[in-house]
Amino acid sequence: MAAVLIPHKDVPTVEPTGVAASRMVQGVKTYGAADAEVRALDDVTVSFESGAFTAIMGPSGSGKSTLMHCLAGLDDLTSGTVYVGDENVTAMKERARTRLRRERIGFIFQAYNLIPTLTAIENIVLPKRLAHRQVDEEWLDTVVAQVNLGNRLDHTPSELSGGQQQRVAVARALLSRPELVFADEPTGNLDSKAGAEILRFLRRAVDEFGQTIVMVSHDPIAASYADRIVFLADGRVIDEMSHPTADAILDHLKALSA
Amino acid sequence: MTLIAWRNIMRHKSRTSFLALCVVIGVSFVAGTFVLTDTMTNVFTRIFDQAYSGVAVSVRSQSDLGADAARPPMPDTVLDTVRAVPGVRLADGGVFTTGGRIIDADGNQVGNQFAPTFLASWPATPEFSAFTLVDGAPPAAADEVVVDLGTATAAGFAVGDDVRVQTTRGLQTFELVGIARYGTASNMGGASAALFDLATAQVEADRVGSFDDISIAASDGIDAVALKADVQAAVGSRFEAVTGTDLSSESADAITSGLSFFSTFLLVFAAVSLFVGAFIVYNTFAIVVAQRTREMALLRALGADGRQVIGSILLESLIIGLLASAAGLVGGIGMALGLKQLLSAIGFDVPTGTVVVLPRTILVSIAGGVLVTMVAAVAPALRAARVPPLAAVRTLGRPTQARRRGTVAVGLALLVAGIAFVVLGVASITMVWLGLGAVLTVVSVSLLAPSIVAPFVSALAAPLLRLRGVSGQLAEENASRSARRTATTASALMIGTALIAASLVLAGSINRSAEQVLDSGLRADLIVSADGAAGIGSSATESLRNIDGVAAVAAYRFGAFRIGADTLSVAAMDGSSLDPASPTVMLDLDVVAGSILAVDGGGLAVSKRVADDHRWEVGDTVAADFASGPQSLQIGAIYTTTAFGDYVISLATHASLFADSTDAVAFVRTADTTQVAAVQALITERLATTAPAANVQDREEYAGALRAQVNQLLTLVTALVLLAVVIALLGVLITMLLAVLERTHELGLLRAIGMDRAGIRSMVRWEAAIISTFGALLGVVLGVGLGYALMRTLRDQGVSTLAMPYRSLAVMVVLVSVAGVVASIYPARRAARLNVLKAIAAE
Ligand SMILES: Nc1ncnc2c1ncn2[C@@H]1O[C@H](COP(=O)(O)OP(=O)(O)OP(=O)(O)O)[C@@H](O)[C@H]1O
Ligand SMILES: [Mg+2]
Repeated sequence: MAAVLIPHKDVPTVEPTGVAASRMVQGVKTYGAADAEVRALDDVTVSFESGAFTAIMGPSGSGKSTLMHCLAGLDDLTSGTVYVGDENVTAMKERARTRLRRERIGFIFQAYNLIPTLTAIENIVLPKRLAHRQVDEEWLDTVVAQVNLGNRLDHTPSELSGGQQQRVAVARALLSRPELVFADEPTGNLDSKAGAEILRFLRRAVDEFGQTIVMVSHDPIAASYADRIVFLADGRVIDEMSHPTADAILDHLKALSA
Repeated sequence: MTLIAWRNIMRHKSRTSFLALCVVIGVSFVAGTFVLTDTMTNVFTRIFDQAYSGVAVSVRSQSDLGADAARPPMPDTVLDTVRAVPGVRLADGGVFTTGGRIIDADGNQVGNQFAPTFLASWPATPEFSAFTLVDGAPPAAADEVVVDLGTATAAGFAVGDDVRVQTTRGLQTFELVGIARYGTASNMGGASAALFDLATAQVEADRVGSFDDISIAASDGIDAVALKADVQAAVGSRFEAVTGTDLSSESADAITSGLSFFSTFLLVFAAVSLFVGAFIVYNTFAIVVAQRTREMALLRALGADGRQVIGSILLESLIIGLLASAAGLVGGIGMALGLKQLLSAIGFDVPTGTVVVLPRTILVSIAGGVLVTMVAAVAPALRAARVPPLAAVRTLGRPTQARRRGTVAVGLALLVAGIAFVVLGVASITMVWLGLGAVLTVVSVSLLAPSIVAPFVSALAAPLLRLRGVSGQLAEENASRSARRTATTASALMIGTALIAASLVLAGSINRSAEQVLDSGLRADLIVSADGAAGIGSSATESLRNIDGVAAVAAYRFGAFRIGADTLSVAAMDGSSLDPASPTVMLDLDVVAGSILAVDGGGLAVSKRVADDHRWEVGDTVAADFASGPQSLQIGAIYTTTAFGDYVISLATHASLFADSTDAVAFVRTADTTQVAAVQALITERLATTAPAANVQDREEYAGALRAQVNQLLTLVTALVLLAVVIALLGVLITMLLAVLERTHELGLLRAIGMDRAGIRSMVRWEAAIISTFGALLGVVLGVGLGYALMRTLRDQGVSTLAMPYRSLAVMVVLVSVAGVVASIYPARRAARLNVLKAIAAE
């Protein structure tokens, strides 16, 4: 089953580089006042290799989304530091962070990824327009061909299925060839077939174009598309795993919860 | 971002159109005011240019009372002096006085009550004539008259008819020999004219041996300005020479300055409309931004910076503002027609002419509309830019509590400041402070309103709504759930209703105060009066004395004079009619110092308020300018009842100072007060032949007529405020549309679990009812306060007693609430028509 779903994994053309695209050092994130404090991240130090596909797994409430938001500069750490490449994101002002998101980071959320008033194609090129950048037509064609939307490019999100909407979101994230793509349960709302399509697509971006992807997922099958898995529990990194298969992940999760 | 702004406009066409309409109405109002006044100025300028085209120079008496006061006539010998001036080719003397009245077949005055009727001579020299015959012949005999086309049309006169004209000699009958136009217009801006040959005019207008003006034509090659100087030198300083061109622009200026008062008055209401429009724009954008929080956050997460988000919203408002202003400009031409109707309803007939749209009108309208729209969108745009990118992925707990407390603090501070300004305005009688205070108070109440919505709804609306079942209850919960939206929408409605409520309170108080003054100050049993400057004529008063049952008759006259730079009005009556101890007293002025009998000795009585202003005391001498020359008058009495004017002299003093001896009013005391009605009938009968246009009123009817005047003004103000109310009702419509959109999912659920369409509709309508009733009630509270403040500010104008028009206020609240429900019919239908499946799928 798993083998059928992950054909591309066996034919990597671009190798991970070994350079950290994103890092968190001693990250702590707390919510709430002293007496009712929640430690969403508890001294997390983790780094994500450039050109690799990393999955973050862990039980609900373990801090996966929080980790991702802090890595992307969407949210602030209570203490600790986040780097993108060599740059200290924690020290950045909002304006610099906006530029960072615009130019170096791509997002794929679980849902509500698209601006409802814009068509699929307009949504895809939106970050370019926000940055006042020229769209690389050739690359656009390549990306659009990958997402396989056919004649639906001129439809608005409300006229697309959930899977189609997610594919548009993926295309948008890849179009500006960001250094990093963050995806928070991108397949969480999809059935297994539509989900697999998205995951294959992400995998190919890593393999063929050297894209760096960090993805949060609950689903062992989805996580098995990654090169590496980081396990979180109670806001801490408790384990990791390289070149996982779905079965190995399941076994690992069972072992962790035991 | 441009694309997003444009898509939002296109996607929500009906909302955008209604929003634009809110701005369109305000802009139309502004543009309409300009178009109307510019058009009128243009028309009058052309008419006067044409009317004076044949006159190179004109001579008249010197007067420093201003163009609006009557000038004394000049002796006809001046004409000989003028004719002797070299360069004068032709010169004719003419008569031109106000104080006439043309009577129609039913015995009523022709034309409107406020405009004068001129008694004038038909110039022997056609080139001097401002009038052109459209029918018949010029007047040539003592029993012939020509009237203006406007009068002839209104009264249905035809050449050959007998026409009654009230002149200084009393009511006379003439044969209508001709009908004339004034320039290209059918009359002079609503005024009527009776034109006679020169000798007849001199007799009828009390100008025997004298002229009002002399028209001069220059010989070939003589410049009007040079000729004017020569003529001036010849006639001396008691007379004044002016060129025809100056005369024309002077006349046009007089009209224009009258119009500018009117246009300022209208522009105030236009500003109110724009302000309410801005409120709606603000509210709409605020709601839309809140609804699009996720979208804004997503844009920010994708790298849009704050400026881009602000830009996209401001752009959307710019587009709406531009479209609305352009439409408003076009609508302004229609509005000008409406305002013109309003003008003629209050007695100012405007000749029609080409519609004038000056570049200034276009500029002010477009700039005003765009500015108002964009300024209103700034706060929501800033709020949108503050949406954190994280909101794209999380429903963030909004820091509403802190923000709300901040808003309440600002609101309370503004409220205190507003009330302080109002108090200051009332204390110092300064309308500007009062206005500023009112605006601040309105803003503060709109900031505080969200905090009162929930208590209001649960206290007042809930018990009622419970009766309406589920729909009512849901409506109630929806209204208090979106307290801020409910409050802002209601606040827009509050502004208009507050203005109307204030007007109602003020008008009621003016009426009540006037009644009190009449009760205590008016001792006459019957009041004989007539509209307009012509009064009732002088012989009419005398003719009443020998009527059975009349114990005393007293004449009451007016005159204009000046103290310093102020042109004022003085009333004339004899001391015996003003002395409360006299059996024939007509008016009791409530003298507080001196004796009113002093007026009989040539003294002046003044009201306490002007005495206080000038620090005058009994015995002081006041220097005043009259048309007949400067005069010193000694103050003999100071009184408090100002309803009959601030300055009083005796009839004898009046006769020595003024050429005109028209009685404005005659007061009558009856011998037996139970026989008032009978005496009234006798007087009416007597006057039917001598002064048919006179009204004979008992005290009750007189008070009623005064009330009717105040109420007419009230109607005018209400009509103008109504536009602001309409805009606010559009606001209710938009808010409900947005609410329906926002609750699509919820509405779908309700339908799915069995609520029928009627239930949905009634739910939406009830919410609108809550909003509009809330707004109307806020408006009443605010308006009553403002009305009271206005009343106190006018305390020196004789407005002393507060009257609360409870019934009118209640009727207004009900009407506004019902109108709110009507405004929600469309959104309610939209809500009911939602496709259940799609609605549930929507998020
Ligand atoms: N805004 C917030 N305020 C308070 N607590 C928060 C907030 N956001 C997250 N938390 C808490 O932080 C912890 C981590 O949340 P996070 O969303 O990162 O979990 P997660 O691993 O993504 O869970 P899931 O798999 O359910 O999405 C949880 O205990 C959560 O309740
Ligand atoms: Mg999560």
